[in-house]
Amino acid sequence: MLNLFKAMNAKLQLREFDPMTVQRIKEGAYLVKMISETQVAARKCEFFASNAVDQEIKNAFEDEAKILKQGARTLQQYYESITTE
Amino acid sequence: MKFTDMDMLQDYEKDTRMAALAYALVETEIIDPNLRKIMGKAAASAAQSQQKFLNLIIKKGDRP
Repeated sequence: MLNLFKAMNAKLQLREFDPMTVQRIKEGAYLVKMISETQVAARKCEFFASNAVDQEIKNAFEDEAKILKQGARTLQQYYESITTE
Repeated sequence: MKFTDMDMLQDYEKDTRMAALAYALVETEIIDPNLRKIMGKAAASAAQSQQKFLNLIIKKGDRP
């Protein structure tokens, strides 16, 4: 029985990825995650700014939303620079 | 549900704290030197935001 499984699995062996390719995929995935998290945080800040009563807090959240949007743009640009040929 | 200003400050302060940790952790897992630099900057800016909101919380009479 064991020999049978071994024989079956031998055909299914996957070709290994090049480690650098794996690393690039991983880094790209991190970048995508960071971009989406930053955009979500920016939307959250906008929501908080519209909900805030105190003007100082409102301004703080608005400034934060601007910073996050700029950050998301920077990450997006870098992602495009490493993915476009 | 209506959030008070302090709820929002506390929540966002926690978010920035987590973000600073996450960016710093991701930085260590990256090989690409430029991306490492970007992640380092992002971690520093998240920590700066955390400090800003921490100060606001203290100013408004609470603690994070």
